[in-house]
Amino acid sequence: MTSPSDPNMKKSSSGRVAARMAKTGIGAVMVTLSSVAMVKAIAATATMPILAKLIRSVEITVNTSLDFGTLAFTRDNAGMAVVDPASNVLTTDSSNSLIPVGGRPRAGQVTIRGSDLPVQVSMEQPEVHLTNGQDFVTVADFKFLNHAAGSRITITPDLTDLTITLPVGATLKTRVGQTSGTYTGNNRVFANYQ
Amino acid sequence: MKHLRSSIKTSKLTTTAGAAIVVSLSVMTITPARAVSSSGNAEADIVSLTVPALSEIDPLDFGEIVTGGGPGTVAISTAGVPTLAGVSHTPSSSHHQGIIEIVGDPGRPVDISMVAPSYPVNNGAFTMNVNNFDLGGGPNNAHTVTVGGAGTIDVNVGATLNVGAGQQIGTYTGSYTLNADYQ
Repeated sequence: MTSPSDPNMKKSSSGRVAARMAKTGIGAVMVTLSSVAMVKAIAATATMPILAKLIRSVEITVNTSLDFGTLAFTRDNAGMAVVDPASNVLTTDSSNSLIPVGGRPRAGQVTIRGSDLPVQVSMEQPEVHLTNGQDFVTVADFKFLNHAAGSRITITPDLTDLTITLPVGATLKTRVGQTSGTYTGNNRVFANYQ
Repeated sequence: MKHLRSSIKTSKLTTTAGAAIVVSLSVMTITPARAVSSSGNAEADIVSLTVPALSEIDPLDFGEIVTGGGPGTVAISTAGVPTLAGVSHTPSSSHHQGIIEIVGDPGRPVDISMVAPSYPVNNGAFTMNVNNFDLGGGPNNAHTVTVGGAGTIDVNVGATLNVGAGQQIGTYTGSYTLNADYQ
């Protein structure tokens, strides 16, 4: 948008009309407009937009730990137990080397708080070891939301409260000769704006 | 392209013999940079200029700024390069410098300057301040550009956004005003 600050041209000091009359005989008249000079620098003013979007940094809260419950096992065979993030149910493989016998198996749960912009959420490690101080079991195949989503997803927090809660599942793997005990460990979750 | 009109009113001249001669120079239409003469031996040297026209090509956009609650600044250079302190941009932030097109007389220098040194941006009742405007001559300086042969030139605009401690999140909008004037 532009508007001239002075739309009217100014006449310079030489902008005058000089009329001279010369009389010869009956009368002849010459009119001369001498040096009608018009010079004016014309300014324009315009207003332009400014934009800025301020958003909060992403916050992650662990609501629930991923828990495989209590599993009975045979030392002679390796086995696998899977916690599905969508159904929050633990299942074991068909080898019968692992049998759920108690505890409270459940998917982990994290809450992401950010803005109405896409956030990429990922696990730091593809697999981690849980230890009992002497031995370890492996936990791998971390999944957010459901089995198909994988360990790296992009989500957009809900517009209402700018949060989203994600379930986390994984697969526990035991080895031949595994020792009994309580195994613990951790994996880190990252969340960043895209 | 605007034309300027100048009107010279009728002159009534009287001879000593008492004969009345009326010379009328009615409306002169003046076109830019073109000498105009009228009948009756009138001469006029006229210089006129096209009013420089300013229009927005791109808004000055500070982008998507992530704050942890502390104070910070976001400086956008005339090349669109951000310098941040206390805050960060999202990886896909849309920040860029403002770009203004000036349309004027080809080859003519134009002085450009800010009307005020700082302007607010608002998100409802919440405000941030934008200052250190750079029109190409450095922050807070006027600058002179020369209109190109096609009659236009683009001017890049940088500035600094000041984020306060505990600044309310949200989308902030505002505007800045500048002058363009032929030298």
